[in-house]
Amino acid sequence: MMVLALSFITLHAQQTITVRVMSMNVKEGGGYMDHQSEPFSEVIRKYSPDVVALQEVDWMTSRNGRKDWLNEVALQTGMFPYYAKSFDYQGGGFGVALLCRYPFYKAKKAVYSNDNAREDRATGWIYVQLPGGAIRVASTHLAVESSDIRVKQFADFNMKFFAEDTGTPSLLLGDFNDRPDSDLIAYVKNRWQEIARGSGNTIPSSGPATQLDYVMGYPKSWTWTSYQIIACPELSDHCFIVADLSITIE
Amino acid sequence: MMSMKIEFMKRILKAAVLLFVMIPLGCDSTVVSGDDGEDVTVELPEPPEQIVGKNVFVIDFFSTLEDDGSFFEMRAASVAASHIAGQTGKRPVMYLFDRADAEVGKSNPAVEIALEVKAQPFFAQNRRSSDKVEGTGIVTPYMVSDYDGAAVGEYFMSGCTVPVPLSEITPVCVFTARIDDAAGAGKVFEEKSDRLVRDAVVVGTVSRDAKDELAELLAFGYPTVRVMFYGSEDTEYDLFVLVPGSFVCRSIESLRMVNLPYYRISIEKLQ
Repeated sequence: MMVLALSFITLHAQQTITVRVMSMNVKEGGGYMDHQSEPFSEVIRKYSPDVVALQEVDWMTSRNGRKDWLNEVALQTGMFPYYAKSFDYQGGGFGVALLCRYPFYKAKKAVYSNDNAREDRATGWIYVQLPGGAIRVASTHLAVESSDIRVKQFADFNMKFFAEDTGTPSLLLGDFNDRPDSDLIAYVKNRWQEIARGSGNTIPSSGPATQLDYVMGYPKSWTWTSYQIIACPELSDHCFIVADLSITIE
Repeated sequence: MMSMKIEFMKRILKAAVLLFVMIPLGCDSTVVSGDDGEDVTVELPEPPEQIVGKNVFVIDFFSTLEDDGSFFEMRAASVAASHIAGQTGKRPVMYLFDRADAEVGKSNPAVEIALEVKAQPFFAQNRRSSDKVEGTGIVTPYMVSDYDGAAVGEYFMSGCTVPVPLSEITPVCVFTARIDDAAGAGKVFEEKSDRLVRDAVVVGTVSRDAKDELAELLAFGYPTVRVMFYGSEDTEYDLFVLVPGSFVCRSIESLRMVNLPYYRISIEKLQ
């Protein structure tokens, strides 16, 4: 009987993973701050997230003085960087990125091209082992042109993302470029859980009037203990998001 | 359980093996069981003696081959950066810094070096830990999209896929791992078994206690890969280089830059 009881406990052992995530669209590679990295690092240090999902990150562009902005932030915050270039830009690159407080053991990206979109877009993701288990965190920035293009991009992303793995709890953060009542967000929520739905607008940061930035979770069993929208109009036109999340897995 | 795993690996490898047996080169033979239970002879081609220089790429592996703490505790990352920036001739596709340990929330030497030389940094965790993380710093001049890896319990292996400029651009994944327990290494190798026989090389260290067991595990589980060890009886670890049958490690050269000991590894992609 004792053996059976122990087996039952082992088979149904539950692990809870907790993580603080942050989403930052830094607007044209940090152009509001003349592409300096330190003001953004200061905000990251203040909120001390485990993972930061960044959008609109320049890499070695002429407008940012050919510098590696992401690695500067990584050095200043003591985080591990991953850059996912969307397209070549001004002699360097433009894309999304992730910073992780802990080493990540795997990272990938998916790039979507569309004849009707003026530029390619990418989503990048990392796998990180946390106490309680591994999670996958992605940073995305969908097209600005139309909802149809965004839906196609997201369908492509979903296919690649879940073809790789459906077993690892995942988070997707970033600038979806669409409103909560849009076709895109309805489509996204077929598979993903919108974390803290209706928590607030994220743009413009000087007086947020609509929401374009989201935190999505997979599977749909994430819980959150806090969800903050942070306006730093001197840094970006988007508000940043910081959320404390957890998921219990068997 | 071990024999089941080996049988599973043999089935996976069988298709890859058949590609090699047709190559008209001298062969080493290994016998494995086929699906129908009959023995199938695995023939790993011997590499030609002639080295084709345009198909050779180089990796610099910085290590003391000892278990003596963080590599950069007594050494400056800026010296490594100067070494990279000042190199002429055939430049390595990757620089690996064994035991470039990280501390959560503190800047990592690989990031510092990468920033100085305008390269990309990664960090391959070797051991699970709390605030201090043992691992290998990776610096590569290439923009890396595919950072592959596996974490199985306490065991880790990660690496970057880079477009190696050989006679034609060839994507190669360079994994790194620190092995103290061959059975643990076997678990992460199993996760990446398809790449290990196709397009991945593994460069890392193996403790003296685990070396023989690792060699045995590879001989039985991965008959179509080649492994080379490099070390001396004075060091606690050996350097190892694992390549698929379509590659060969041509040389491992022990070098030193100021107080930074490193090994220049030359690998050839066979035609």
